[in-house]
Amino acid sequence: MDEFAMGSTGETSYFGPILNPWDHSLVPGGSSSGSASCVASRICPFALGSDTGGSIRQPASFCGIVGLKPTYGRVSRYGLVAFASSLDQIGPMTRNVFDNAILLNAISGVDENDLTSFNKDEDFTRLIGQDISNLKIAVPNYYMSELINKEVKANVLNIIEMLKNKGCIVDYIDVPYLEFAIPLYQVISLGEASSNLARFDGIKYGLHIDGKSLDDMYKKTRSEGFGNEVKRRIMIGSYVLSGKNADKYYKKALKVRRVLTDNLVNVFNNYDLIIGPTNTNVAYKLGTKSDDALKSFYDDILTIPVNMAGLPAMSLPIGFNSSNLPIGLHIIGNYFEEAKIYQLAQFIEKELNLSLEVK
Amino acid sequence: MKPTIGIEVHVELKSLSKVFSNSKNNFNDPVNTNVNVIDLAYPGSLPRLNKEVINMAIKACLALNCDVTRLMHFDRKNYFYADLPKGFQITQQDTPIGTNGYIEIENGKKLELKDYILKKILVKAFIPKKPYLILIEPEYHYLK
Repeated sequence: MDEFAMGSTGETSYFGPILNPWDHSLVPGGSSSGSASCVASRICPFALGSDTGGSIRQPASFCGIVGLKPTYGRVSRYGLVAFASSLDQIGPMTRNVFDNAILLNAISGVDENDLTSFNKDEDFTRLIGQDISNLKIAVPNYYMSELINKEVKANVLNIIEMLKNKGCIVDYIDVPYLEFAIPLYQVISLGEASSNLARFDGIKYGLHIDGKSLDDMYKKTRSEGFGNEVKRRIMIGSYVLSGKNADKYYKKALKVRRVLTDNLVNVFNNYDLIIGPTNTNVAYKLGTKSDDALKSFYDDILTIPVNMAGLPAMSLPIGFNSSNLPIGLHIIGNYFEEAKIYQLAQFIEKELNLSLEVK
Repeated sequence: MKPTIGIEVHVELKSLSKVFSNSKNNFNDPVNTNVNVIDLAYPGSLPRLNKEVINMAIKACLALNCDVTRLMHFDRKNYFYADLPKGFQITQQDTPIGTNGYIEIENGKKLELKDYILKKILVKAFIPKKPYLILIEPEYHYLK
């Protein structure tokens, strides 16, 4: 995985880049790169990932597997190295929808060691197989804009047609503020990350490099111990939280986040689910984005809004492009409505009956 | 000139465990005995709020005529120091548990109490030059 879950390609891993099983010259996505790659290549039946801005869904989509980011608090974060505490959520990554639901059954629930966890005793498979024709589905125009690759868009349009034919209502809607996802993420997630990674100070555990003084020891240990991407993010995060900048950037970002959340959640007053592509494109070549620190953030342009709101969302394989690379459908539900996501996902999975095994 | 003097008061609690962790709260035990993975800021550990402390704080707020907040959250104050394993102090800036209190003294005079907050403060630290070994850290109530 990308070091400290920071990256969307797997290339910042301490142990070297992870490869995409569909084509070894491509990235598997990230940061849950190894999980996605192993499940896709059938090395293991299922895996867990953590999703702060799309780190389960983006690699799931690049590798042709099912990945779900549950409602914030659904799965205890106790034991997970924190990246951005208000966004982080653990979720299942599997070969198919049913496996995903039973894995979520196994890992969800209240934990006294994570105060944001909650207890809602339910079986996530309970709606699977039930009729979907009465579902009302929204497609944000932003998710089908010119930012989206043509082949990806065409595959999503196929699904929309399929659902309409089945009797579902599918409407295109506007969701204001979706376009602020990247700047919001850069302020909120990096600010929180800089605070969360402060504990790696060389005193209690991990790398320790001696210095002339306490400050010198901190400096040497942290300069040596963190990779470049992580250091870059800690620096930005420390900047947005320093002194008056906290009001100027972090607190302001929280206000915009509130409005974006309200706009997204309000969609569920009229609709059961939101769909669109998981990513703007399919997997790309290793090394494509390593020269530009900003570019890799743009992979998460469609997934970040979900973390900002704390909603549950899935990436489901819905087909391949002309180079035989998997394409993912994004299915977003209201709080606690993972079961409804599974209901729709399993219907689509069954209709498409794709062969998702890497040849 | 008539000076106005503000007083910041720290109150040590007799709760069984610490404010943000479930390890024992006993100042007189030897250094580094009442510490667990939360106190030592192990990766993956999260603060655990002590319910008993909230009850104590609410009682204190009522006795001091404070408005008790309905919605409460904690803030982080970030800085590096050897007595701060997490790299941040947990405190309350925006939503103190109590606000607008007062204490009545002789001749009916009222001393204003701005806010009543819960925070985590190091009580006893032992920081030798090397290795940078540290701490016992029970936590405090805090008036200002």
